[in-house]
Amino acid sequence: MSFVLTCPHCGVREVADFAFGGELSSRPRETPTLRELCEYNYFRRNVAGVQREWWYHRSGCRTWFQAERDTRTNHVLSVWLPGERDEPGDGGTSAELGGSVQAEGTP
Amino acid sequence: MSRLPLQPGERVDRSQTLTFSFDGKPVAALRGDTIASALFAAGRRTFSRSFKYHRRRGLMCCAGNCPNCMVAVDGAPGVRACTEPVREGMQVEHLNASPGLELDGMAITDKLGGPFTPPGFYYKTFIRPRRLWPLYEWVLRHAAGLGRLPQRQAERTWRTEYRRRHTDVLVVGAGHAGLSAAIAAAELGADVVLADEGPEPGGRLLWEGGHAQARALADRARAAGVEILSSAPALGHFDGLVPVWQGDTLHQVRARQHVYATGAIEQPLVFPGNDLPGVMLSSGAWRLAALYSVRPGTRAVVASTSDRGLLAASALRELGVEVLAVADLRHTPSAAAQALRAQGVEVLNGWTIVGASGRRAVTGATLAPVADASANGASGTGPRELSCDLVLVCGGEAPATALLAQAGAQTEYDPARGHFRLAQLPPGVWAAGDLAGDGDEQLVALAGERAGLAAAQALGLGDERSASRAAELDAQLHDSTRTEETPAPALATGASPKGKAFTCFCEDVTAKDIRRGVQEGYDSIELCKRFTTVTMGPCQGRMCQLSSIRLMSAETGQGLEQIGTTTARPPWSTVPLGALAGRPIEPAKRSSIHGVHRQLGASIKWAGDWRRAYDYGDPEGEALNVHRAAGLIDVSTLGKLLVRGPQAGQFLDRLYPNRLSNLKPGRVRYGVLNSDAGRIMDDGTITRIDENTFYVTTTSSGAGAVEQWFSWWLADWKLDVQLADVTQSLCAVNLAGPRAREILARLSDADCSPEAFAYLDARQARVAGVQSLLMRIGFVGELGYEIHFPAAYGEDVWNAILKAGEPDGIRPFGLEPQRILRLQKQHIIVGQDTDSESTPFGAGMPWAVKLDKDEQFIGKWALQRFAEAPAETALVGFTVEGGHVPTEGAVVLDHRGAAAGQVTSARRSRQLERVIGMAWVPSALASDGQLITISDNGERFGASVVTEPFYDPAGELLRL
Amino acid sequence: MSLAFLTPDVTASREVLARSPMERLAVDAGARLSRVEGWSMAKAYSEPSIEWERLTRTVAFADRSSLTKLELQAEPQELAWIVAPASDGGGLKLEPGMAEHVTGTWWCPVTPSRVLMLGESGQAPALRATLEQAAEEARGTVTVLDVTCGLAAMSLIGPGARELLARFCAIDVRPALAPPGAFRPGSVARTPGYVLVEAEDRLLVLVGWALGEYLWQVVADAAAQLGGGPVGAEALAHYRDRDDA
Repeated sequence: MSFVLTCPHCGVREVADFAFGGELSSRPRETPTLRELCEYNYFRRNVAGVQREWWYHRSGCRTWFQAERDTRTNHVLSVWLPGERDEPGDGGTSAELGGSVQAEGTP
Repeated sequence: MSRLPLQPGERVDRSQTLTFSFDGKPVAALRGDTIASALFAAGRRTFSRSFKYHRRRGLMCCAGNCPNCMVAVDGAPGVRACTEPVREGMQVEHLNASPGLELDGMAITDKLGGPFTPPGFYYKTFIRPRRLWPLYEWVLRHAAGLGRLPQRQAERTWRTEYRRRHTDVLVVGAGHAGLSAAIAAAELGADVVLADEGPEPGGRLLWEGGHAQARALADRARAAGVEILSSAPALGHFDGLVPVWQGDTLHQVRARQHVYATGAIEQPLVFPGNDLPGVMLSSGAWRLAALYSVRPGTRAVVASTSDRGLLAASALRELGVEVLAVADLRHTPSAAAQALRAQGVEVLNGWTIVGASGRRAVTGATLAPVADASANGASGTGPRELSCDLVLVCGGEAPATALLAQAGAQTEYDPARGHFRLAQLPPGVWAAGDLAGDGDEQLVALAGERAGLAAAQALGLGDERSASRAAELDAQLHDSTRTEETPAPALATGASPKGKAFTCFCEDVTAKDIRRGVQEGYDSIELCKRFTTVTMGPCQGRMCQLSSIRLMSAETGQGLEQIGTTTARPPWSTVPLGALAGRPIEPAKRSSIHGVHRQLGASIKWAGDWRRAYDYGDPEGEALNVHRAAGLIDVSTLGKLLVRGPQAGQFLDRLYPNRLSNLKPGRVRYGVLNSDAGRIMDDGTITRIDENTFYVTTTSSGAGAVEQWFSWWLADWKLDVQLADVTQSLCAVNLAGPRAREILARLSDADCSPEAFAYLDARQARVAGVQSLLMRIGFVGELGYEIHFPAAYGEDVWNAILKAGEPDGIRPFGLEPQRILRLQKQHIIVGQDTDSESTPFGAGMPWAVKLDKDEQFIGKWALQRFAEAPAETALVGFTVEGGHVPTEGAVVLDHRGAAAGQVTSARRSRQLERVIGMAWVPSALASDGQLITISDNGERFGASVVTEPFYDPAGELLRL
Repeated sequence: MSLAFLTPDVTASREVLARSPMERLAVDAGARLSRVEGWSMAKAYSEPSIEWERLTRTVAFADRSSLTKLELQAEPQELAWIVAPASDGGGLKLEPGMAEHVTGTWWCPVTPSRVLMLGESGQAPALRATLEQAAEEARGTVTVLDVTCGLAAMSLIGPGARELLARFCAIDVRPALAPPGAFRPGSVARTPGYVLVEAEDRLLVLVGWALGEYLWQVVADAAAQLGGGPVGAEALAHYRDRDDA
């Protein structure tokens, strides 16, 4: 793997500069059933195609951001800071713990 | 040393002679010679022995493509003699032949041949009996191969430099097209790097009579600012990063646009005896003559499927090589064929070569008409045998698409030319020249220029003039017809082939082997490749991919377009592993006190990405001294985070399962971090500095992960909290032992009395004059102070403490004694005593989880479930009777003797005078006094469970 | 309690010296050390003529770990307000990618809400005091941290400076893309770091303090291939004076 990513702050860097944070998922908003908890903790969509995911510029400005990447070609379509693209009602400074680790669209 | 008369484009300098040795004997050379040209000029025809059959192999491609001339240079194997320039005094040795090249004992495998060496032979034969495999392996490894690496490399005599090169445009291949592309892009202002395998730019212009033009183009490119890398093969295309290997430098080229002009590779023909020394690719012989002024032979027979072979024959004829006959597979004479005929050369259209013979080198060739040929111009209809010392073959050309394929280009079969041509290019990647089938010299140059313009335009460079030039080029390129027919060579007809006909020269795979592979069911190209190893040798398919696909097509009846090609994989060119290994300096973190540890004779070992002092020669004694007097350990590797802001307490309450928002300034609390699945991730202490500021320590190895974890949740929750990782800013030492208080009091302005500075208190004070944060914590089980201070003072503060403690008998202690001490207290080390499945309940720390706290926190849902259902296994302490120290990882057996847990830590404690440890055991056994059985490398012994700390179970010493 | 334990307090004591993490390797390379503002500094390594040759003809490197380094965190709109009194009335753009050199300090925006300040060690107390004062008066949460001992620093100087960096760093610092002032957080020698283009022929490289010795090894190894070597504070000061003139 040696594609490049564009950090929203620092610009283009080698992918080795970054830590991969996995695909975006949503944390349950209230006490989940066992099944929901297991799905949240252990199940990933693992798509072959465009995926929204977390990246951390570990070797640079140490900022978490989100990206849209085609997992088949490693082509990164876009990057943004968390919150910049959240659907209305998601994100923000909710005092509630649940909910905002969310950006992937609801079905 | 015989040479041709002075050639206009020759690369050798006749005024300068050099001497090198081959197998210990001196060889004379001219400056500019390659090892191969000098050896050939000196009369050598056998350059290597083949991989499996140990057949003689001679020069074939003279372009660094085939494996035939691989030698060892100054002990390094795998060097191609045909491209490696001669250096004065270099020592060259043959590979893979014993006792020597001329008499090789292993050549017997060629005579026995057949039953012993078909593909898959060793998988099938040497599988039984299994216990003999090590012997078989030893024999096989010595029988085959391409040279041997020296067993020891006492001193690294060569090194690799790594160089990152960012550029606008990378052009790979400096032939006519590549040079034209580089010039076009650079003259529009692009930053251009041009990388080429050859020692000078120009590609085939250099030997086809265009050397003056090549040099002029190279000068123009340099004038336009192009950085030209010669003798520099590109190794692969990795998502836009192209490593270029140049002698001792690996250029890692990151370009925004790529132009590939890697040319086409002349293909051999498959017929019995096609590997004899003296059977050469037509371009190889031409290069040898034109660049090094060496006559490749005197009497030549030519077999070609395209004009390339005919042009080479014509050129060699002018240099005094007698051309006896030319077999041209095409039925209709081309202009080149007619020109040869006009010179009096016999051209047999519709003919091909069906065999070559000779013992040490080729002495004869057999030509025959192809099936159903109405042999236009042939002077006979039966096979003809000719006596010769050179056979020139040209089986058409295969575009060198491998790098482009790695970049994502698609290829498709082109029946008119009998090869796979480019079909579709990925964005930002351009192709020109022979690679793209651009045809004659003029068109190659125009296509190159067009590609260079395209790359520049894609970067936003250029103006109206360049745009109109591009349009003009498009029109010219569109109008020209570029379809020289070069049919796929039919396999030899009529005559039953006797002897081996090789498709793969690297791995000694014959046409028969491919047929056998297909018959055994390996009828897809990828399977056949793996079964026969065709295309897997050093040539990486340059010589064999096309012919093996043709053979498969003939055997399976499928078209070549159905069969397709194997996946192109890096490296495209041979490269020493050392070139890829990176600078031989490991990124090691070192505490600021590291130099003192070395002076004190510490044994230094890796601990994560840190270099740490494991002990100072006496780990058990060092541990004991902490109990008896005092010890000082460098714990600078601890992760250290500052968490600041009005919501800092709330933030930590969400991350840790216990309460931290109610921690008072100046107090310390232990915390264990869990994942949302309720598994232990890390642990450490949290100290409240002031209302808004918390100081968090993590494990040494977990520092980076915890910082990421914290900032990840913060990125999402967007609380009014700021984070700072100060791990490396601060040195930290732990001063511990019954004398610790007195020693600290001597050095510090802090009130060290137990009342003013109690267990789990934190204080700000000067130590040896340096502003420090002091925390009373007891990881090692004695009265102890962790002192954190600016890293720049590491050495001086460390030395000051040791000096101040001298009267009390202070000694430094390392990581190993610390492990003994903490084990006595059953303090866990995350990652050592826990794994990704461990929960705080299983690890015996239910007190670290406050399920009743109001706030939501990470891991709460999972931990609630764990709290309800008892854990299957639990982490407990144990002591061993008899003094055996079990290996970490030894198995704990249940009552039936089945594996039910494992030992995570075990040490001998001199303080306690017994062997102690920690292990995961079934919950039923997790109570004091239970006997467990430990199985350690086949040995079994008993141990008894201890759930409380072995040393000072009530924790009184910590609180003194 | 406060965060004073992060600050190397040069007035602290005559007994202790602040030392660069590269000190031992510098001494091995022939450094002559002396005490400057509480720091042990390498004044020179070789003959002045040799060091001058490195600075002007090949490539030189110099340990600059004693630079004062402060980190300021605040909301973007607050940041500009806080830095104003310390930066000659402000007007700093603070856009990631470009640093500005004002009142002897490099103001390097890492993100819109985080600025790294680099200055000579003598200026530290005044700069810190001004910032802390402004932070007190700010409305939102502001953190002023002394990260002097968090980052080891090395200058690469001379005609070969950019080429030397390219031997161990993948960040693109071609002159057209990285003019003086360009500030690039990113991986340096396979470890988190920053690159600041101080001048056309002068790059400042920063990595974690604990990696200082490692950085020296890498830079010295690569510089030797380019005919370069270390220079001390004296030659560097002389060179910069000439530059400024």
